[in-house]
Amino acid sequence: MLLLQNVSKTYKTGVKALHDVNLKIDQGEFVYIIGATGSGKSSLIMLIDGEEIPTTGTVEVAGIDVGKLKHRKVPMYRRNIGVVFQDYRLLPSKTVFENVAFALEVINLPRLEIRRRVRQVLELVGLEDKVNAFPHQLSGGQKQRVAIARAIANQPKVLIADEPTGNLDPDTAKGIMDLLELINREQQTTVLMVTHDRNIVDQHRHRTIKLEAGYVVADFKDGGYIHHV
Amino acid sequence: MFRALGRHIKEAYFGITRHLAMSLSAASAVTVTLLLMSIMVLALGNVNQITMNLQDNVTIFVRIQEEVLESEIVSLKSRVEAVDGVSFVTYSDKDAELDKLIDEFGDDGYLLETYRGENNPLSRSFVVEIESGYKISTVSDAVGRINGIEEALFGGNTTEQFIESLNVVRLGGFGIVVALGLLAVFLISNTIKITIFARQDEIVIMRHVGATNGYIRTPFVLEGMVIGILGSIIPVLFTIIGYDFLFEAMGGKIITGMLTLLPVFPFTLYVSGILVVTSIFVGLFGSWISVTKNLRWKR
Repeated sequence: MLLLQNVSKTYKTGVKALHDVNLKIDQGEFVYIIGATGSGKSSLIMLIDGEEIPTTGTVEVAGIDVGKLKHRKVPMYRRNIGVVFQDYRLLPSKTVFENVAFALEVINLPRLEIRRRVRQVLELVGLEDKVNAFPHQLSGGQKQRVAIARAIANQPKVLIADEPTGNLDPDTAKGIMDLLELINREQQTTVLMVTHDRNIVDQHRHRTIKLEAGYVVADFKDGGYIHHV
Repeated sequence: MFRALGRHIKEAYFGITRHLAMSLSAASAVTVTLLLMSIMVLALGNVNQITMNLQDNVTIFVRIQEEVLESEIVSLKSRVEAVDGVSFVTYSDKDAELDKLIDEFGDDGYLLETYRGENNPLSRSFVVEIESGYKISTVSDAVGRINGIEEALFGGNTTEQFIESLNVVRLGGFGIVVALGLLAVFLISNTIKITIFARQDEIVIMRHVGATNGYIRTPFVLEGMVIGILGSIIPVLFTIIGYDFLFEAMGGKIITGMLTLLPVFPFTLYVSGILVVTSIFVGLFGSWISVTKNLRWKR
C-alpha cells in the first residue's frame, strides 16, 4: 500500500530531514508517527502527499511512484489521499455542508452525487444536525469532525492526520480518535496519524513508528508510547 | 466541463460580493485608467480622421511645359498616372485655368477676359490626387521629374509637416494607450493579489483536496474579468455622453470647417467597445498574473 525504500530528503537549504527511511504500511493499517519537532514527521508527510520529491529512494503509494509523478499529475494523485490538519483549515465563509462539498466539487462530481456523499460522511462523523452551521458556530472537536468528513468524502485510500487532536481537550480528542478508528475499521482506510500526545498513543494502541533526527528509531507493531532509549 | 463552469461562476460571484470593498477598489483603479484611455482614444480617433481628411484633400498642381504639343498631352497624362501613389489625374487646359483664375478674382474677374485665346500666359496643368499613405513630397518630386513637366507644386512643406506631426501624435497616443492598458493590468493585479492573499487558505485547501491549478485559477480569473467590466461602466458612459456634449458644444468641428470632429455615432460605440474589451482583458491578465504567482508549478 505504502512503501518507502531508502528514502532520504535533503532540502535546498542543506537541511537533512530524512535519512534512509524504509517503511511498509499495509492497506487498512492504523499507524502513529511520533517524534519530537524537527524529527522529520512533516517531511515524511509531504513526501507521501506529493508536496516534495525524495532526494534519493522511492515513495510508492497505492502502486504510484510519487516522486516520479509529473507536477501536473499531482492533483489527480492527491485525490487518493485525505489530509486532516491540527488547525482544521475550514473555509470560514462556507457552511459545514459547503465545506465538505467543496472537496467533491473540486474533483467535479455531479451535484446529486455530492449531496448524497456529503450527507453520508456528515452522518458518519456525527454532525448531521450541523449541516447548515458555519465553522465559527462549532466547537473545536466539531470543526475537526468537519475536517475529517471533508478528508474522507472522496473515499481516499490513505488518510493523513497531522496532529488532529493537538488543539483539543482529552475528552474531545478521544472522540476524534474513536472516529478515526471507526473510519479505519469500516472503510478500510489506511490511517497515518502524526501525534505528540502520549496518552492517546498509550490508550488507543496501534502500530507506532518513531522518528528521531530523520531516522526511524523504532517501529512497534503493538504500539504504546516509546520512551527514549 | 459545464458543471465546473457553473461552480466557477458561483465562486467568482461570492469572491466579488464577499470582498466587495476590495472588488470596488480594484474596479475604480480600472475606471481611472480607462477614463484616461477613453480621452486618449477619442482624441486619437479624431486626429486620425483629420490626418486622413488632409491627406485626401491634398493635391499636387502640375504645370506642363509650353513646348509639349496638344497631341502629347494624353501620353503625358498616362505617364503621370503611372507614378507610384498617384490616384487620379485631371487635365485642365489654358482656358480652364483662366476660368479658375477669373473665379478667384470674383467681381473683378472680367478684367482678365482679355487674356483669353492666343495671349493666355497661363500653363496647361494636371491636378494630381494622391493615394493615402504616400508621402506627398515624394510623389510630387517623381511627377516633377517627368519629361514635359515644368514643375509640380503642392501645399508646401507646412502641409506635409502638419500631417507628419499628426502622425507623431498618433504614434505617441497609441503608445500612451498601451501604457495605460499595462498600468491598469498592474493596478488590478495588485488588488487581486491582496484578495488572493486573503484567500490563501482556500487555495491551500483546494490543492489538498486535489484541485488542479486550472481549477483553482478559473474563479479568480472570472472575478478579475467581472471587476474589469465593472470598472468600464463609468468610462463608457463618460465616452458616450461626454463626447456628445463636446461635439455639440464645438459644433462638430475644431476651429475651421476643415478639421471636423467624428460624428458621435458610431464612433463612441466603437470606443466603448474598445474600452470594454480592454477592461475584460485587463481583468483577465491582472488576475491571471497574481493567481499564477500563488500556485505551485514545481516540486
